[in-house]
Amino acid sequence: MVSIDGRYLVLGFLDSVLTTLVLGETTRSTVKLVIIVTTINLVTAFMAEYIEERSSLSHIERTLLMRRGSLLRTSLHRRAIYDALIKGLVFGAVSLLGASVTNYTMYLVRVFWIPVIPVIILGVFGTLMSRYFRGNAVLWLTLYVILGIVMSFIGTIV
Amino acid sequence: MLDVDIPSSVSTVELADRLGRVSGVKAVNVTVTDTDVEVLGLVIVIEGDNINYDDVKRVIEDLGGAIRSIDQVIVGEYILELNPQLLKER
Repeated sequence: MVSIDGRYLVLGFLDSVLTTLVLGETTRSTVKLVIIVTTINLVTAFMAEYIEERSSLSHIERTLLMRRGSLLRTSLHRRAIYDALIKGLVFGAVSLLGASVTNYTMYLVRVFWIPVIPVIILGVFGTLMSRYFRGNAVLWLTLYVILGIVMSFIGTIV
Repeated sequence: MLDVDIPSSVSTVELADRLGRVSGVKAVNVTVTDTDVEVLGLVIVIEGDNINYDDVKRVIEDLGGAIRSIDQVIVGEYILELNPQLLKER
């Protein structure tokens, strides 16, 4: 059974909200934008996880004094691919949610160029993320709110 | 009796379960003798009739393990026990 860290859910959401804030102004097609963000995040998360797993397998090969690549034919490697796929899909699903929510709410309430609802969502998830490394919640809330404002500004000038 | 190293991410319960399903195997004992960050050292004792050693090897290797040595093999109509005194005298 694959264990999904909560940080993947939070990071998937944060990543998709930020990307959608930048691309939202330039890409008019809502569906297209959501698909782009979801696909990119899904593939990126899968590759990141797979590379991590492969690197771990290579390290085990060296520790066990095995020939390079000998663990690629084992169930350990098949499990690594499966785990990376599941984590990629979860990351993709959360990104789909984040991109959709951002896309549908970014024009509802605006102060100057700032989409208020996505920026508040960013702040909430930034605070949640700080819990994973016991960081300062206020600092991370502020950081992500500022990031949201900056990203949406970049989106308007691009 | 086998001396085996496996990655520590592999479950010894799963290993024992899969070895127990190999043809001819009647009993399996998996004992952890050494622990490292990424590797577990195991002593695996397998008992049974006409044990298919190739299948045993395949199960261990499929889980990413490596058989370091075969430390004891007993074949015959009855269990021929080794007198530990004989080993000490050598």
